[in-house]
Amino acid sequence: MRKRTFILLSLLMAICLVVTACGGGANNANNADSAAGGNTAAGTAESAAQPAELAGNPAAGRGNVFTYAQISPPGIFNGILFTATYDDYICGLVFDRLIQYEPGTMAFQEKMAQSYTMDMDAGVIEFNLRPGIQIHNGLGELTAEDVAFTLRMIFDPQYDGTQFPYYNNIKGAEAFKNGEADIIEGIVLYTEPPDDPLPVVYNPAGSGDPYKITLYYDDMTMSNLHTFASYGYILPRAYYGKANYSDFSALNLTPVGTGPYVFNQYVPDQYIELDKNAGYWQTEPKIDKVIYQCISNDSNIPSLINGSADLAEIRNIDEDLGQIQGNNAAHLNVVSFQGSTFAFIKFRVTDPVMSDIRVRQALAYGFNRALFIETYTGGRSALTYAMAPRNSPAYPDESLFNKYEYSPEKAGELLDEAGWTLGSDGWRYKNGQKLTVDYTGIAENANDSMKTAMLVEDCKLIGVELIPSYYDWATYMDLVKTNPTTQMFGYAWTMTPDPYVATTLLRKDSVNNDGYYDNPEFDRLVEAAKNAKSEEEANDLFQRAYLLLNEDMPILFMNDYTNVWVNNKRVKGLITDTFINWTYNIAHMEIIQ
Amino acid sequence: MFKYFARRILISIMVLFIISIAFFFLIHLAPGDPIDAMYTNIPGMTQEQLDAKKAAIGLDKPIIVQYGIYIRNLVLRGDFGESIQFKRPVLDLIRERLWNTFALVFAAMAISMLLAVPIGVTSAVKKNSAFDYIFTSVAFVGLSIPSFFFGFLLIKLFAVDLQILPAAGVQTPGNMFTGAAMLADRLKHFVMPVSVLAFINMASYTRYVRSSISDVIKQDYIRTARSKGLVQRIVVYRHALRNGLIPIVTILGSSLATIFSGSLITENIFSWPGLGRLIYGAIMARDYFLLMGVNIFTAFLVLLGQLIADAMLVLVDPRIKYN
Repeated sequence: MRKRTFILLSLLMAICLVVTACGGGANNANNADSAAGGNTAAGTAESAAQPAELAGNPAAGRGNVFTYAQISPPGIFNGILFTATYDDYICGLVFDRLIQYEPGTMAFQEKMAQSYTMDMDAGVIEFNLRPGIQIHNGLGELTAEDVAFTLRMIFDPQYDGTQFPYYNNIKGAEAFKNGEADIIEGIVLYTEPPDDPLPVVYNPAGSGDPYKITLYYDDMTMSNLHTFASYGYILPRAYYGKANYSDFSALNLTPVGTGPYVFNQYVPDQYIELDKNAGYWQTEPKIDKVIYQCISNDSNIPSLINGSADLAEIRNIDEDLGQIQGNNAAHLNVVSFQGSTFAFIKFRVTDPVMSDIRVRQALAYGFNRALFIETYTGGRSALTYAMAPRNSPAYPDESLFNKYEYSPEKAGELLDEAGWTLGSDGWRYKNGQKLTVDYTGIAENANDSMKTAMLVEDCKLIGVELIPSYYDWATYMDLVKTNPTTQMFGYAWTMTPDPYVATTLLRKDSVNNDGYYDNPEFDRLVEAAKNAKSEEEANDLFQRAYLLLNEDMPILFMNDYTNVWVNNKRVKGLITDTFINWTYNIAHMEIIQ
Repeated sequence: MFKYFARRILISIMVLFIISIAFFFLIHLAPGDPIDAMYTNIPGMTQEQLDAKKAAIGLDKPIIVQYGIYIRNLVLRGDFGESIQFKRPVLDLIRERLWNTFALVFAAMAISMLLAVPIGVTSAVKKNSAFDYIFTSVAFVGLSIPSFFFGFLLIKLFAVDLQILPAAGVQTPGNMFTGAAMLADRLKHFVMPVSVLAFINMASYTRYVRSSISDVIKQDYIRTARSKGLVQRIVVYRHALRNGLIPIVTILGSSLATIFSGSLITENIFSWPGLGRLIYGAIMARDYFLLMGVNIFTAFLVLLGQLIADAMLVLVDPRIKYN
């Protein structure tokens, strides 16, 4: 009996092995087939004309359609209501801005505005729109009134998006939102009021110019202009100008704008389909359709390999790149560039242990950050020392920073100075209290869990016991905001070209100041930088603020992220840069047929 | 019988009500807050704005009051509220995804039953035969293999290496096909996720059927049937199976919940646009109203499944009379 069982199990295993082997064999045969098949198919029709990009390319048969694979967006496709980056991608296709950032330089660049002026002293920004910009679906021409309408919707008392704080220093914005004023006095249009006027100032000088709009500010800063380049999507009144706010937000799933692509349909958790806007004011887009395919992070690599997606972002860099180095990925191209995110560790500076600057500095010296970054990113990203991108003019000359290069000796000296002396058991003590540090981390963040694992080991060497605990994002946010026992925690932040925005991590009254940092000098410097009259002056002040942080160590900067995208080689004209989306050059991109 | 089911329905409603209380308080007990998680990291956000957003969805009120408002809207107006992340009615979000999950779950259930019954019966009748050993081994593989691993294995094999099946979704995006081609496209997308769920369920069903039939086959009335000279096929499929299936029907009713939760992982692996992905995202974002909606809805389905299972028992088991 037993013998029979044994024979049967052996047989079963043998069958399994044969099946697996067949799978491998079929795999190879299939690759050979598809390569050969691709050649013969092309050979009959246009053997000489077929571009190299299409040979053996599994996406070759998919036509003039660009498919972007990404996780499912929440589906708030409205230029002033979206909060998720994924919704922003759709907005970037459907809507247009007045001005935008130029890739590489981060300088302002005219888009729908053919010119703009900013007067820092008078507190005025003026835009002159290009004539002839057509709204989708034949809804007429976009004019300055649509810009005023977009701002008016952001100032609506019922507005529940997140963009109000960026525009709230336009004169009369707060008063209108609070119902204290009927007219937003800081928005001026240069036409006669229509039958259904907006609550703005019409035609002060009597001159008719439907393309001009002037904005008057209470508090003029560089951030005011940044807002138009980083948010600033314009919604056409002809479509969104419904009587009340709830009708307005009901249009989130059917956006209409002036952008290069016209929204076609949204199938929840499956895809979003957009058709080219043949009458786009810049140029007629070359790609017929853009499809945003909603897939989980685990499926993006298979979709790129089998040709069903043209572009995807890579999350687990080493793991995923390993997958696409095989011979079935010859049609793929890897693009990497500096991302806009940086990782950091914060100290809860009000904690009795962490309030000592020497302890914070000792932990900076005691953590071999260079080794961690080398291990985690394979040398693809670098240590950073400030909350601005390293290619930004606000980022100081790196030689000015104390780099806190790994030195357990220096760490030990600082801890000794602070009164934490080594005990016989290898841990440090002060007045009988052991030096332990509670570290709060994010469970689903691979960067954070690896960082912490190395940090625990490094801390052991300097006699500090680091006790990490990990939580999901929502719990984590709750703990770092309110939990009094949290002493150190790490996460990452996405920067914008406006350096002021990221300083929210440490400004005293900001909701993001979860380390409870309170340094009046830092607050003064960043406020002065925000209100500076020139960019040079602002950059100088930001640099001083960053150098202050470098000394005071309320935050230990880790690495900035490198973005890695993989695209099908049949796609041409993709432009990538730190602060722009893949949608930036979509009107000029093409697919090789 | 009518009285029995009326009472059962009443009890189910009460159970649903208790479940709603338990869910509501458990969900709110979990640390984290949807507004903080979603908005705190948006640059320029102020505490006043966060508070206003919390007040707008009633999070500033005591939890008892919040529950009161929730249950009143639900009972009086059938209003499940609005999702915090999606800013759309919860019911719409469920409706958009429900049929995809149903299709997946019921296809998997049907296929696994269709395979499990003959395999289980044959295994029980031909105990310790080669057939029994092979399928017992297969069942153990099915029981022990995690669905995510099996899913990735299939993706690697069929979507990446062989490139004959799509890796994600329920159809090729963008209305590419019509008629028969559309049906073929859908079927192609069904193969892998349904196989994963069906294989794992089949494994446990096979075990249930095998042990249930093994018990029945030892009964006196089977021996009687045999001694009457009936052929084996009739003894097994007419006399033994009908009794052997009784426990299986009960298990089917309650396994509906298991399959629904099992589909959560499968849906995430295959980017299936169903309730599993919706609920996963809702948990992570602490989207209270969406979470409540999906949970109550799933609880309703499970209770309904058990009610149907009880009704079906009358059909398969003539001894059962509900009075």
